[in-house]
Amino acid sequence: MTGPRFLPASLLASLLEDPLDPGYRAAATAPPDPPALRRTASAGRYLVLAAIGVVVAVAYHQTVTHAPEASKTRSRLVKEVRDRTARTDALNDRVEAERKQVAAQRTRSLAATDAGRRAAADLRTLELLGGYTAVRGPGLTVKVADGPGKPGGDPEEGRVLDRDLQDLVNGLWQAGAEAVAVNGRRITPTTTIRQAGGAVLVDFRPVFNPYTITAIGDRDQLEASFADSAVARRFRAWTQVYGMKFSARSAGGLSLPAGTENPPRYATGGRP
Amino acid sequence: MIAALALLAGLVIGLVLHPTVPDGLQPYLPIMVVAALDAVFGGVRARLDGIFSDKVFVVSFISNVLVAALIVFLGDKLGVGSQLSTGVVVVLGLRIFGNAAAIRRHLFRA
Repeated sequence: MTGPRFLPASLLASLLEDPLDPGYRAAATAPPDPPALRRTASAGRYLVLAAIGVVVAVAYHQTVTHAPEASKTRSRLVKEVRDRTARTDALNDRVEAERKQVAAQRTRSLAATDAGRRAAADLRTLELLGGYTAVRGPGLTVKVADGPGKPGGDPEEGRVLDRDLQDLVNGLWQAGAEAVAVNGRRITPTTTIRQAGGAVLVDFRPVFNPYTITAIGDRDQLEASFADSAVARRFRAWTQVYGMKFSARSAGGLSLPAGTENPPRYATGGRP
Repeated sequence: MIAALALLAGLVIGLVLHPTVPDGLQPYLPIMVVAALDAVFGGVRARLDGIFSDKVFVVSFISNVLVAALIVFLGDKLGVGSQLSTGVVVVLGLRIFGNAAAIRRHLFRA
């Protein structure tokens, strides 16, 4: 490599002031090269220019073909997630249908005897309380939504968290609800409400803002007790401070779907 | 001029044939592009200054590319690959801007 014939006082200064390769200046003052060398160098010039063209074209082509790669992978993953969710939903529907068949069979065979009929009635109550059958009735509809947060503050403060939903659901149980659902997902004794990343998961399925919590029970008693509860008071305060939305209205003719059943693997029945 | 045609021919060949880059060389491709651009701008400025020399042009291009690739390769082995790569791009970018400014002064007397 044609090295510099001088040592610059400051590397940065020389870089900024005079970026020309000092080889050119040296070659200008040196004696001319023999013609053979000049011809080779001339040919070399064109070769180098062509090589530069190829390199630039290849680099451009690489960038262009690889950029969609990332978004292609992403859309493939999104599609896979959707497909699997659809499959799980279909399997859940099948489970639901078969359970209905089993229940019908069971009712028929239990209806044969008195003891059987009593057992069937007990079973129906247990299933209703556990949240494993769809139910209808009057009750309370609670709606909450994210707010913008304090003016000039962190907007994250206005978000409804899994804790808030848990408190609301517990508040409704305490107020006397017999069945509760969050955004259409029934709460059973083993249903979890947790946060993963930015989304709230109810029974491991995401639910999104705004949130509607429906509870079935005595209309008036539910409304009064819930309005008095600590969580309702907290939420009313938050509507002022963080701009969150909160409303609790009694309604009739609410219908909640059945929750998904998780047969226990470790818990066994019997005496405590 | 023939020089511009040679460059154009190279571009066309690269775009039409699009040769596949071996995986080992892929991380050095951007560095090679910047080094090539530096050599081109240096050559154009030397031409406008009237002191262009084919020999210097060819040697400067080859050495720029090799030295830049060597620095990045060394950096990768030592664990400072991305920083050295940034450094190389910054330095070559500075030179490109300087040469471009000189070319502009020649072309527009401004």
